[in-house]
Parts: sequence; C-alpha cells; structure tokens
Amino acid sequence: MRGARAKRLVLWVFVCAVAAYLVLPALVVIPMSLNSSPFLQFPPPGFTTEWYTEFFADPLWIRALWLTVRVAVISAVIAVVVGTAVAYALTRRQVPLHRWFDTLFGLPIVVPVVVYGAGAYVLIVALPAGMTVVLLPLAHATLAIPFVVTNVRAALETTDARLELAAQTLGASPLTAFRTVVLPTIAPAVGAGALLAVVLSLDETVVSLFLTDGGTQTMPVRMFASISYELNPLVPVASTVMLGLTASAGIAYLAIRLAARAARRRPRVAASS
Amino acid sequence: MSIGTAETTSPRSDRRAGRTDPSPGPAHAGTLQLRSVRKQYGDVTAVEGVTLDIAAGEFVTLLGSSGSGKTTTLLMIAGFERPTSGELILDGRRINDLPPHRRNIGMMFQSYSLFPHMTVEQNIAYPLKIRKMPKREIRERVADALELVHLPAHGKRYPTELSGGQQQRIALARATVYRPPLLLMDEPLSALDRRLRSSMQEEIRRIHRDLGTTVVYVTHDQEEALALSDRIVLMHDGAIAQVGPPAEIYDHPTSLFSAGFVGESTQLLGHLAAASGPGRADVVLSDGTVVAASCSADLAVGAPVVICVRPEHMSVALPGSTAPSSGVEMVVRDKAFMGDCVHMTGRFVTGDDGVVRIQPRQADGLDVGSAVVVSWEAGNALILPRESSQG
Repeated sequence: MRGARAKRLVLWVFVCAVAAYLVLPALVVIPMSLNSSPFLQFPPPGFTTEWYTEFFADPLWIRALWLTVRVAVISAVIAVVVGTAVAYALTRRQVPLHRWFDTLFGLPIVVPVVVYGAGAYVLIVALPAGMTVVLLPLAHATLAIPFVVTNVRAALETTDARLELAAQTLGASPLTAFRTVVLPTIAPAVGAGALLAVVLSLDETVVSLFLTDGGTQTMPVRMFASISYELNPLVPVASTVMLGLTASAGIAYLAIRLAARAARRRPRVAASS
Repeated sequence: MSIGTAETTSPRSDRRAGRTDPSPGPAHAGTLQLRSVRKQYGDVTAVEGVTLDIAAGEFVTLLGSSGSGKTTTLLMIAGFERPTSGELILDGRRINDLPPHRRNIGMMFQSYSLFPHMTVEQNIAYPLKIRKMPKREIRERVADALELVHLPAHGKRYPTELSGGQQQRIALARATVYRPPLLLMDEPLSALDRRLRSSMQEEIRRIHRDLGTTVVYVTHDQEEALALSDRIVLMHDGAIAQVGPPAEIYDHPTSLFSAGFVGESTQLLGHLAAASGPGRADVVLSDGTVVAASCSADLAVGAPVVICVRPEHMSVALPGSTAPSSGVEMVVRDKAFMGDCVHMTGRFVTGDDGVVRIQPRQADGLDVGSAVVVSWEAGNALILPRESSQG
C-alpha cells in the first residue's frame, strides 16, 4: 500500500512538472503584460494596466485583432464544409482513386508550411492587390482541412451507414437524410474540427507572413513585426489576448467532447437504473 | 402473444382503417411484379432473370444462402441497387428509375437502424414528419404504432435503452407507421437469440395480419421461411430454384437443391429401374437393393436419380424383427435426444448418409454402432433427377 502511494506521488510530481514545462512559458506573458517597466524588465518592478488601455485604444492593433478573428471564423467554416464533405465521400461513397485522395488531403500536414507560404506568395503577387483578405482564409482552411477530415471520418466510421438508407426508405431524400440523421450523429466531431481549425488559424504565422502586407496584418504577424524593431510592451498584452482567444476555443472544444460523451453515456445509465 | 391481445388490437386496426390515408392508393395496393430482373456487377451476375408476381397482402420470403441473390433482389426492390435489365412494377407502375425515398416502401434492416439521437417517438414520427403530416395526427399515429407493437410506454426512451427485441419492434413500428403498401424485411431476426426469434415471428405474423401489408422477407433460415411465409421463393446462384407455399416446397421439392435446402432429408443415390405404377417407380440403389418411390419427374429408365426421404417419414427397427421387407440397413453413427423425438444419423450399406427422426420409445436398444433396418412408405420417398453439379 505504501509503495503504491509513493508511486502515485511520484507520478503526480512528474505530471505537474511536465504540465508546468509545457504551460509556464506561455503563462509568463500574463505577468509581463502587466509589467510597469516599458522595457519588459524581469522580474517586473511593478504592475500596471496601462498597456492594456493603450492596446485597446490603438486602431492598428484592434484592426489586426478583428482581422485575425474574422480569418479564423471564415477559414473554420470553409474547412468544416469542405472537410466534412471530403470525409463523407471517402467513407460513404465509392470514390475512384480514393487512396490518392486520402493522401492528397493529408498533404498539408506534411508539406513544410514555409514552402506552402512561398507558393501562396507567388500566387498573391500574380493576383491584383487587396486579395489578402480572400486568400488568407482559404490558405488557413487548407491547413485545417486534414484535421477536420480526420475527426469527421472517425465519427462516420463508427456510425452505421445503414441509418441513412433507413431514412431514405422512410421518405427522406439523400440530402434530408444527411441533414437529419448523419449530421446530428457526427456533430461533436464536426464541432471539434471547427474549433481545431479556429485555433490553427489564430496563431498561424508562417503563411500569414507571406500573404499579409503593412495594411492587413493578423495578430501574429503584427506581434512579430512589432518586436523586430524595438521592445514593445504591447506585445505581451497581444500575447495574453491571443492566449485568451485560444484558451476559450480550447475550453469550448473540451465542453463539446464532454457533452458528446455524456450524451453517449446517458442512455446506458438510464438503462441500468 | 395470447388470444386476448389479438382481440384488443383488432378494433384498433378497424379504427385505423377508417382514417384517411395521406397517400391513398388503389384498393388492393401492394402488388409487386418482377419481370426478368437481372443484376450484373462487372463479370459477376448476382441476379439472373428473376420473374415473380406478388399479390397484395401476400407474405413472400426470398430464401437462400449468401450469394444466392436474395439480398440483391431486395435492394433492387428498395431502390438501392439498379437492375441491369428487367422491370420492377409496384401497383402497376414501373419503379426502376424511382429513387428509394420516392417509392413509399417500408424496410426493416438486420441492424434495426434506429436513429440513436432520437427517442422512440421521434424515430416513429420521422417518416410522418417527412410527409409533413399535421402534428396532432403524428401524435395519434405514433401512439397507435407503439400500441401495435405492444410497447405503448416506451415512447420517451432512446433506442440504446431498449433490448434487441424491443428495438426490432420499434423498427417495425417505424417502417409501417406511414402504411406503405409494401414492407421489405432484410433478415430482421438474425441478430436475436432463438427464443426471442420465435416470439418475434409470431409478432410479425400478427402485424402482417393486422395491417394487410404485402411483405417481402429475406432470410437464409429455412425454418423461419417455413413458419412465416404464404409463399417461399427459393433462390440459388442468382436464380429462382422453386416457388411455392411452404408445405409444397417441403413436401414436393422439384430439385435436389430444394430438398437439401429446406428441411432435412436422407438422400440415397441410385438409378431408375422401371415404372411400377402411376407416379411410382423402382430404383436400384448402389448396393443393388431395389426400392419403390414416388416419381413426378419425367425420367428415362437408367437415369441417375436420388431418393429423398424426410427424417420423420422413416421408421427404424432391429434386423430380424418385424421389419418391412423394403428396408435398407444402416449403422447408427450418432443419436441425440431432442425431448419430443430422437434424432439419429447413420451410414447406409449403400454408402449414403441417413438422417432419421423417431419417437423416443422406439429408440430403445438402438445404440450408436448398432445396425438397424430403416424403412419408409413409397409415397414418402421422392425420386429426383441427379444434377450434374451434385456429382
């Protein structure tokens, strides 16, 4: 018994150490954002909310924040629609060369993002000016599609394909059957895919660097640009804001997972009672 | 189910019949015709020229092993497979080009296929909602359907909270609630255990009587087919081997395949010796014994034939006792007590295998390894031509 307890204690210490190692560098931006020294002095000589006031009053930062959120949402919508359709086609329909398509939709994970960004850059140079707001969501969506496909596919593979056939014999057109029977059962996976896409887009820096210009900067690009010239006390504030956005997406993701698991478990609990 | 429940359900079905149907068809809706229906996948012919007329209200079973084409035929009727050639006609209308959701056919799947995210009520209401029926009528119909399958209190539950048998009943309620003229059933009982299966068979018969729907049922289980059907369509290698009422298929198989697939039988190889009367013929068995049997096929003298005898039509005696002279000797290989009968297998002196079912008291003293004389009435032994594929 004592050995088991000691083992558990060691395990806990180890887990906490790993968690701290993973999270602390990110969390350090929070005290730094409240640093009263404008030169990012560490440890902070005092605390102030001055930089926050300045950040939210700066139209350039607000524009960057707004663009980031917009790109994240639009790219997530594109990724979810395309990714779900691809996952459905690959699991439910006999697609010719489906192994090739399988590999094709996994490519964005493997291809170096720098190469992808450079390619996107060549494309945007060839296009008329002002296409950033169009290309950026598309590029982010492409990077997120593999994750949506993987998630939705797993969900589709565990649901009975005959449910749709049953719905069709009951009078539902294939589209209605998909909407009323398939979509509700894979909704948690679709939601999870959407949030993954949002998070990916929020901190996507490499492709964004290639595609943005001075007038249209996303948060990561603007943060990167800000520290290239000088120490900027607003960068930790921007980091904290980004951290907040990502964390809320992460919490939403967890909530979806838990709700889905509860929904799956509910009938079993009721049956045993 | 008891007679009492049958009585309580019949007035309900009368009331149901008086209600206006959202899709009124002809008075005897549910006639189905298959005209030389063929289905080919590349070089493989799954269904080969099936022609079949199914009357309104008839319970027809497509019986066959896997690969016999029975499921492909069902999927073509449902609309999930397209015939390569031939015609499907439902109530006088060609349905070949109609997608499944426009055929107004009910279908029950082997896996129940209830929607897991909907309650039982929502599952049953689904086809009615699709048909945009008024809410009040949906409620009434769902309640009626739940009563029909004897699960009136289970509407608020989720499918996973129900047992396999209950899920099957809900699937049946959902497939019939919009009163399709034709109900297709794809091995609906194969996932249930034996006892549940026989009670569900009774349920299916009762609901078929109550609703009067035409049913096309698919199974590989010959007992199920015999128990449920008005007519059995025995399928083999994509074609129809024999069509007829269960008793006819059982008593008068037209081929060795029919005799072997439906029910058990002892098959003795021999050659036709001579006609011995109207519908009778003598057969020389492989050891030279001559036995009489009934013969309906037109066969030449000397033709290779098989004599088929059902196990319950054979009697067994110890050699030397009062055995009839027409008996054939068999060595008992195995003996199993089944409660109401004793099931005995053995090997005849002719080299053929035998299956015999006798009363338990007649089996006394007939132990494994002992030689017995097996005999039967000529009228119960059927002469069938030996098919080349049977060797």
